[in-house]
Parts: sequence; C-alpha cells; structure tokens
Amino acid sequence: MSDENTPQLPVIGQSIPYERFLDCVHCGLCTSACPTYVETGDENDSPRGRIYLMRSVVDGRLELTDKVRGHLDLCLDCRSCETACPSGVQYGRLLEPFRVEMQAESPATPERPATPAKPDWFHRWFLYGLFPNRKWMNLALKPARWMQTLRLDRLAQNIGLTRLLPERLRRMQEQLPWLGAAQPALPEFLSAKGERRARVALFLGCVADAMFRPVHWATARVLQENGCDVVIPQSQQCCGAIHYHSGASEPAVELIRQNVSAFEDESLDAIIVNVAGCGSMLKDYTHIIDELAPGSVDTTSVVSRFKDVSEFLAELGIRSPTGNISAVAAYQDACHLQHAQQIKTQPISLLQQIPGLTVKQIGEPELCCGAAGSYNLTQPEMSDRLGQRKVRNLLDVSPDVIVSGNAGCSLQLQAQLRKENPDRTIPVLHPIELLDMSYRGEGLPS
Amino acid sequence: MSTTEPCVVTPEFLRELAQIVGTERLLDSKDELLVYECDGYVVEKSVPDVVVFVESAAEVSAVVKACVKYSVPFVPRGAGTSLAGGCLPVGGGVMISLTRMRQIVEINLRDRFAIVEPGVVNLNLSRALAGSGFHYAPDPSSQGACTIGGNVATNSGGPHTLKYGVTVNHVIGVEFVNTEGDIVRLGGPCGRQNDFDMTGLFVGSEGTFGVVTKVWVRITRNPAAYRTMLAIFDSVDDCSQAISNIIGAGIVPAALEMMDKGIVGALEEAFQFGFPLDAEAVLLIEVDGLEVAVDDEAQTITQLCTDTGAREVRLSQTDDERALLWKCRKQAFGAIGRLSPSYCTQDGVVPRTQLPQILKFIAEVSERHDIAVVNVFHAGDGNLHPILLFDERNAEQVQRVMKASDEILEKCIELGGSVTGEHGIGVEKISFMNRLFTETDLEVMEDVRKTFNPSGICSPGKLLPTAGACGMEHIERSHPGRKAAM
Amino acid sequence: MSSTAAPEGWLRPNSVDEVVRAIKSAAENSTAIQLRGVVPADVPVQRRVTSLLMDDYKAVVDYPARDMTITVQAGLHVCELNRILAEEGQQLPIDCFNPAMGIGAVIASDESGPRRFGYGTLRDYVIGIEAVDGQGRIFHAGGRVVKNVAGYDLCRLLTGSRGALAAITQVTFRLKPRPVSSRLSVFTFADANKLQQALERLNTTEATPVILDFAVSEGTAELRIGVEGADASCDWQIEQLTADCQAEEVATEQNSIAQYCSSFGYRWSCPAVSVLPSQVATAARMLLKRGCVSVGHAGTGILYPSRISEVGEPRDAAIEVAAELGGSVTSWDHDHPACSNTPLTQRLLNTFDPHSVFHWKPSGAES
Repeated sequence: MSDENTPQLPVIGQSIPYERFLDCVHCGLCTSACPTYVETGDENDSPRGRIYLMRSVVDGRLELTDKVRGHLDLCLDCRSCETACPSGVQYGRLLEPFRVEMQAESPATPERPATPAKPDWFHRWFLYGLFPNRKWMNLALKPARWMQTLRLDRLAQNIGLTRLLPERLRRMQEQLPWLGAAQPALPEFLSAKGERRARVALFLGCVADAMFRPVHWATARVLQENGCDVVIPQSQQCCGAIHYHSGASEPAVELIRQNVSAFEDESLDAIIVNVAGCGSMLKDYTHIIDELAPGSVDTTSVVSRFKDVSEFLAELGIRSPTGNISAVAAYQDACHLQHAQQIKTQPISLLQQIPGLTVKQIGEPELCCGAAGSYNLTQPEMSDRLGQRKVRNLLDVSPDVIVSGNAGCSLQLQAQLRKENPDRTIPVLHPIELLDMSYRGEGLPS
Repeated sequence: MSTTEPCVVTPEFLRELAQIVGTERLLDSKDELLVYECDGYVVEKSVPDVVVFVESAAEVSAVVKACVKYSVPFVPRGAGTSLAGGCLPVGGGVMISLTRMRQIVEINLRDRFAIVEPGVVNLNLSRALAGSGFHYAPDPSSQGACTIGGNVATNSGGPHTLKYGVTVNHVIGVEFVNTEGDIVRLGGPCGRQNDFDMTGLFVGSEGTFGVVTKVWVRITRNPAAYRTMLAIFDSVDDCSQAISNIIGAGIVPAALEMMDKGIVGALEEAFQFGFPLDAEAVLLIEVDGLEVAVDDEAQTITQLCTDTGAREVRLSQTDDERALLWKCRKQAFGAIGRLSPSYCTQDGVVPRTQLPQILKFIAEVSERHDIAVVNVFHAGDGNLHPILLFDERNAEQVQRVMKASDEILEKCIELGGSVTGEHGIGVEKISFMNRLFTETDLEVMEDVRKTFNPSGICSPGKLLPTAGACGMEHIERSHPGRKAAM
Repeated sequence: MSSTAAPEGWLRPNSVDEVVRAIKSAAENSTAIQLRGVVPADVPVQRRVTSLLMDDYKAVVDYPARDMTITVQAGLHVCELNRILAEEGQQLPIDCFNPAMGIGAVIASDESGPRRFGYGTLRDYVIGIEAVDGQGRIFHAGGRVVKNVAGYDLCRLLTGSRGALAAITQVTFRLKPRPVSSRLSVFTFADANKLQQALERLNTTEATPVILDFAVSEGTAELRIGVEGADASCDWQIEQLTADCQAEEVATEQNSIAQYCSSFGYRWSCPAVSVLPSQVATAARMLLKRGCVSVGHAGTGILYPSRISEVGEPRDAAIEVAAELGGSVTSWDHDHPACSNTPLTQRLLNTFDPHSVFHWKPSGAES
C-alpha cells in the first residue's frame, strides 16, 4: 500500500505475533458485549473494530492518527469480548502490547522492545510514584481521613474549592470512599483456627492496602476461620498493572521480579488475592514477561498458585457461616473476575451460604462499571456513562447491599451512587466482608 | 479496493448531514471509515464515504432525503454480522448505522407482541422478556450480537426455527423509511389487514426496499418442558437416515442439529462436554411442549435413532447440561479455529430426504479437491453449513476451496434445494441467482425492487444480479476469507 | 391442448401456457380475467370478462412425503389435497369454508379459520409459488425446501392478494403431521365480563390450545377451545383449561375439531372486525350494544358480528367498533387490497398488472 519512495516509518505492533490478529474471523459476536460499543454504537469502539484498526496499522493500511489512538484509548480492557468470542481471540494480548508500543517513543520491532516515552506529571507523581507504594499511599490518605472525619471534604466540594484541583485530581478526590478509622497493617503471620487445612499467602497490593485494609483483615480472618495459616510477605509490591497498562514496561518488569521473589516459598498452597484487577495481572505474569523481557524472570511456579479468594474458598469448601444477614445483595461481576479470570459462580455460591442473604443477579452483568483501573481518571466521560448505567442496573433489584470483588469497582460504584443520589447510602462491600460478618455474627453496618 | 465509479460526496452534502445528526454522530475521515468496509463477510470490501449514527425515524428520513437530493447511495447497517455482505456499501455512499436505535418501545404480553427499534440486539429482547413466560422465537446463533433490524432484512433463522419458524413468521409489521425519505408503516398487531402482505415481502428484502425504523414482532409462550438428547452414530449415513426417519415419522422436534466427527473433536477440545471422539456423527435433538407429552416424544425419537443404528442416545439430565450442549452447538464455529487457520462456511439447503446424498457428495468433493470439510448444521430443515478448512495464505488451496464451495452449492440446486437457507444472497451469492431462477423470475423480482426503490439508491448491488450497482461487477471474489456462521 | 367445454366466457386451462395465452389476449383486447373462487375487487360493467376456472389443472406435481412438502397445481381442491395428505398422516392445517375451492383461490383469498390461533395462516405454509402476472409472464419464487431466503418472498405477496397481481398456477407447501387425537371443549360463562377474565388467565395457561374461539350473545358467553395431541396430553390440557377458565359449564367432545373448523366458515359473508386479542370481549360487548351478536377467534382478535334481528347490515356497527378500538374491518364484498390507495399498493399493481387484466377498474378510469 505504501509508496516505495517514502521512507519506511517504523510501524507499531510489529512485536505482536500476527496469528493473534488472524484468530479474529470478523463475526462481530463480541460487539454487544463491549461496554463502549454498547454506549456509542460505533464499530471503531467495538472489539472487532479495534482489532481491525490495530491490524490495519500493523499492515500499514492506516496511520496511527489521533482518532485511531482515541478509539484504542477508549477501550476499558475489561475483556468482556474475550468471554463473548467463540473463536478464542486473545484480545487483551493484542491490545495491551499494542498500547505499550503506542506509549513508546519508538515502537518495538521483533528484535527490540519499545523504549518508553517520558510520562506526564500525573503518571510520574501519582500513577507510578504514589499509588504503587503502600506506605506513601497511607500517608497521603491521612489528611483525607481527617477531612472526612471533620466533614471538611463535603464543605470543600460544596463551596467549589475542589474545582481548583486539576481534573484528574478532582476525580480522584471524588472517588475517595469513606475511609473510616485507620486500621493497623497486617502482621507477617496469622495462624489457622481449628484443623489446619492449608498454608496460604495474602497479596496486599498498593491502593487496596491503603484504602481497603479492612477487606484484607476480613480476608485473613475468613481464611483463618477455614483452617488456613496466612503468611503476609512484607517484601511484596504493587502487582504492576498500572505501569503495564499505561505502557511503562520497565517498572512493571521490576515489580514482577520483586513479587516473584517475595512469594517464592514452596510451602505455600496458594497465594490469595482479593482484588480482581491485581489477580488477573498476577495470573498473567508469564505472558507479560514473555512479551516485555523474555526469559528474565521465571514466573511459572508462582503464577500457578495465584488464586482469587473466592476461587480458593469455593474449591476448598467453607465451614458454614452461621450469622444471619437478612438483606438483598446485588452482586456486581468485576470484569477482572468474570472475564479475565472466568470466575463467575464462585463468589455467588459463597454468598448464598450466608443465612438470610438473598443474592440477586443484575441486568447486563457482563458490562464494565467504568472503573477499569485508572480509566475513570483518564476517560472520565465514558467512565461516568458506564458508571451510571451500572448504577441503574444495580438499583433495579432494590438492594440493601452491593457486593463486588474488586477494589476499583467498589470505588467507582460508591462514587457513582453518590453522584446519582448523594443522600442514599447503600454499602458497597467485598463478598469476603459479608462472609466475615456472618462468621463474626455481625449485621450490616447501618 | 473496488474500481467503482466513486459517488460524489460534496462538502455541502456533508454539512447537510451534520445538520441532521450533528458532527458527533457522523464519521467521514478515512481512518474511522475503514472498519466499515466489510461485515461478517470479508471477501469483498468497500469503504463508505460517510457513516451516520441515526437515533430516530425522523433522522433516517432526513438523511435519506439528503441522499436523494445529492444522488448519493445509502445502505443501512445494524451489528454488521451478515455472512453474505448484506452491509457492504457497494460503490461507497452513506452508511446509515442503526446501532443507536436500540429501544424496546413496547412489550405487550397480553397481545403477544413487542415493538422494537431496528438496533435492538436479538437476545436483548428475550432477556427483557425473561421471567414473563414469553420469548422471541427466532434464535440465530449470532443472536447475542445481531440486531432485529438485520434479522428482518435477511429473514434470519436459527436452530429452533425448525418448529417455531423463521423471522418472517414472527414479524407482523414494520415501519420503514422509503427511498424518497417518507416514513411508511406496513402491517401491525391486529389480525387482518386490507392490503397486500407487504410485511411478508419486506422481510428478507436485504435492505433493498428502504431502512427499517421500527418492527412489530410476535412473542411466543415458553414451552413448559424440554427434553434434550444426544444421539451418537458410527456412520454419517445412519445419522442422516435417522434425521429423515424422525421427520418422516411426523415428529417436529424443536431442534434437530447434526455435527460430524471433525467438529465434535474440536468442540470436545474447547468445552470438554464428554462427546465420544470415535463417533462419526452426533445428533443434537430437542423436543419441547407439555410435560405430559415430551417423554413420549423423546422415547419415540430414541427408538427411531436406535433402530437406525445409533450406538447410544443420551438424555441430558440437568438444565446446566442442556445449556452446555447448546453452548457447544452455538459456538461450534468458533471452535474451528482449533482445526484450521481459515475456514469458509456455506449455507446450502436440500430437501431433508436428500441429506444422505448431499453429505456423500460433500465427502467426495472434499476428497477430490483435497480440502478438509466438517459439518455442523440444522439437519431438521435440511439447511447445511459445510465448513471448508484451509489456510488463506495458500493461494492455490484457496482456489480449490472456491471450486469445492461452488460444486457443493451447485449440487444443492440439483437436488432441488437452494443456495441460502438463512444467510441471504447479499453480494456473496448473487452469481447463483440465475441458476436458481429463470430470467423472467429475476425480471419480475427486479420490477418489485423498482416499485420500492425505483432509482436503486438504497443498498445498490445486493440480492439481484440486475441490481444495477455501478461497478459492482468489478468486485472480484479473490479469496473466500474466514467466516463464522449461524 | 384446447380447453374443455365451458360456459360462455369461461376458460378451463390445463396448462400454464393456456393461462399465459388467456392473460396476454385479455391484455391485448382490454378485457378482464376473473379467477374463479376469488372474490374480485369491484364488478366490471363495461368490460368483457373471462372466468379462469383452474379445475382441470390439479395434478400433484411432487409429494416427497418424508420431506413433509408437497407441490401441486393450483386447481387441486382443498378437500382432495387433504385427502392425499391424510394418507401419509399429514395435513395442511388451514381452515376453508368451501372445501371445493381450488388451492390457488384459497391462497389468493388467504382463507383462515379457528385453527389460525395454533397454526398460523397460509403465509406460514406456502414455500414456493408459480404464477402468471398481468403481462403473461410466468414467474417463480421460493422453492421446494422448507428454509430458503433466496430472492424476494413473492409467495407472501401473492398470499391474500385476491387475484389482483397474478394467477397462481402451482404451489409448494410445507406440511404438518396430523394429530393423533383432539378435543373441543365449550366453556360457558354468565356474560362477556366473565369471559374476559377467563381470557386473561388463559394468556399464560400451560396448555397449548390450537383453537381459542368465542361466542357472545345476550345473556351468555362461550369459549370454544380445541387441543390436539396424544390422548393423555389432550385430557391433561382440558383439565388445565377447565381450571384456568372457571366456567359455569364445560362440555367436551372428542375429535370434532375438523367438523367445527369446516362449519365455522359459514360466517364468511360477515364483515370481520380485527382488534387486539385483549380487546375481544370489549368489542363483543360494544357490538352487543349495537344490536349484534358475535362469534370469532379470541386468540387472534377476529370477530364476526351478525344482527340479532337478522335485519340490516352488521357492517356499520363493525366499522364503528373497529374505529373506536383502533382495529379494522374486512368484508369480502367491500374490501380488497387492490382498493388500498397507498402509493406502494398502486405501484405494485402497475408492476404486476399494467393492463388491469386482474384489477377491474370501470373502463375509462385510468390509474
């Protein structure tokens, strides 16, 4: 297609095995599963369309224009299309490396990986600097905690003070959940109750540990309750998803290396993850290393032991929880559970064992809530549209509590629920928190 | 790509379109138009000059009027899952995307109909009906993505149409924008009409009469009970004989689907259902109806299969098992990726008693051209989907695939059948039309097209060899591409 | 080759070519063709008419019984067709008031009756057609297989076209198995209100009736419900329907559906009121107020009113009621698709019958 006289520009996407593009037979069955396509109706915003765009760029039929970039950026990478695809197209394995190259100043060739572009201030300070660091994140949230306790955050919002913040920081502020009192960090070891059935490690993550430490505590308690020794290696790091998904490959590889060594312990039966987003990244380590730095880290023994907490418990079989929680729970499938990890029934089957609890499936369960990692910061408009769509589907079943197995979803849902109706308070909990409450004989927080 | 004389899209025309739908809902730059150059049929490609996303019949009407004013052809598009190039914008022009017209306008359970906009995804209507005791019966395998507007255009089928009928049996009215831009209503929910059955004529017209903006569909009471069976055969002959015997015995199963050894192997690898890998063919049979009746029917079918040499007939025991069986069937085409890098699906129909003959013929063709063929299809209707496996990078093999495909379809005609049971003629099978119909038949059909679409401005180059698209004849079928199917 | 003796102005063709010749000659001589058995649009006064009687063109062209399809020539009588089909345990489940009608005329008239509720209408059974249009062109559509989307669906266009577009010469049908057994139950109610309540409950009944007919007159209302299948399943359904209806009285007959369906046709001369099924009881009450009793098909929303006094036309009452409920009225002698003034209809007429061979316009009136 290209003119022979013009100098051959390096074309991006060359590092992606071309067979992966050929897997797509262009049938279009993915389209209705794609949240952005469902909203815009534009083929360019559908998985089939995006694959077509990427392939056309690789083929040299299309330049990587701002519009093409825009359609690819609008993708949530929720991988709902992978669940829908009958041909087994690995969409994530197409989009993610393509994005890595899009971020790069000079694209990858089959011989040489992409060199990273210089990240902007937001990525540098917040996404790469602050977020992945558990200690800093905790410190950073301290003032927010105080402000929430003193209701100063509401005041600032009401008098418009927060509007002085840059857009993305303001959205971060809006997304902040009610943090509650700070809880202590988890110790290095917590021992099983009763008969010992397994020895597991707990993965903490970065943002989650700062904002959702109660979930970690609940997870640990439920694991102990079910006869698990829980090890919490202190050298573990952020999973690296934020870096990887925004194309910062070097820091991602470094984090993978550190986590692999933190969880090397052969005596561990499983490494428990309670954040779906982290879980799918961790389970993908082998592919990512193959793609970014082949042969640099041996991930195999660690990767096979990463388990979502619901997946692990459902497999293990739990001791019956006895505490009554009479409530209607709306279960929100996190994309990184249902699509990326194909975990759909396990959390529901665990919840159904709680006496008194009615678990309801919601409409359009396959659609993303718009959280999608840092998507709610980078694509605020689409994120809000999808968030409100999800909220409508959730409220349709009149729930007393909303349950979701992913920290990002919980943040998004809480923020979107506040936006929909600031006076409504429907708690958004992790399934494990409900289980923990039932084991402890506690009711829903009022 | 095509050598079509380009239609003239002027800046004034674009401005006029933008005034109707706004710049937000209009694509006119090359980088955003490329994805619209084909649908589920990828052999032929043609990029539209503009795509507009309409949200109401009034907008469609205004867009069509602008097209008429500037003499620019237009073509409607839903989800773009056509397997025959139904959405191909032959000669460019305006593509009217109906994906944003996706409201279910009304559901009337008591009178058993629903009114939907054309962009409603087929499955979403049945989802909206979940729990009501009713469903929308036509269930093409692409029902999770394809739109009802597209179903109306192609008169879509699906496995359960054996008992319940195809789309036209369930569409009782349409509202469409004609080629002058006027909104016209045909049919409706009340029983008798004082007019020709133009709704019936409209369904299956493949977008050549205008743009559907609303559809009145029947909704169907859910059957009280199902029995789903899997009959396993050691020879394809026995299996096709069993199909013939079941139909001949006067039983109308809800679905009767056949899968041969090749496809069963791929499905087993994909879904681990527990299919026997050494069987030559399996039949997926479903009967539905009254709880008091289904067991007897299932029993009769089991007996018929056993008498015809079935090694085993399994009854699916749970809803989950049934769901998995259907998932295997409906996603069968996807599993082909495990057999071959490329494949091509045909859509022939033969009288049901001719199934043994056509299957034998397909096997011969496969051998003669050295092209692997697997079969998974709607056996009860005699609607075949032979899947020819190849590697699109092997040009010589591709030519053999084309030859083999044509021979199979030719044989379908010879046996008294047709070249398309549900995918439509589109652009793909236009060359077969004069083998199916006489010159006069086509002349009359062309006259009918002209009554709806006198200037040929709407969906040029579709359905009829005489459809008068400028430059259509220059688009060559270079290779059959990779396709999924119903 | 030559036509058998026929009354003056009649033609009994025994080949398609003869049909073509008759039509071409009519087109040339500005005369008209009437298809016997099909009620025409309006009566020609000024033009000479040839009646086309297809009775001699009635062969079974192909009956591959195990395919459950049959191809027949248009003159075959419905009763004869059903006799042939019955030998193979099959049927064309279409009710027709005059079993001596040729099948081509039945299709052109789109005959239907009580079983329309369970089986649909002819448009669901005609899968292939051959016809001759007003220019004498022999054309085909569809084919002989049950599933086929090649080309425009002219089968449906001709079904119910009342002979205005073409003379049907040959047809292929898809067929249904004959049921083993059947029951017809009459459920009696005190009034139309009680009947309405029963209909609401029946909308979600577990039973699968093929007939859901009603009759409303002063002081009483009835539902006639027919079921088919094996004996056990018929009995179960009647039990279920009895529970759903909560009628004052129930009377059940075995295997009388065929008789009922053929006798129902005497209503053909009444105007048919079409409303939504949910409006049937209301429409019946409104008709009663206007001095009309009614019978009809509750499941498909069709009512046939007749004057209690047997004096005067029920048509005016029918029109009033239909207008109020947003329905429509069809009478054989008043309404004809060719009389529809929509531009599309007129264009179709001009396409198929440019010389007005079938569509009888008083001479001098130009389109």
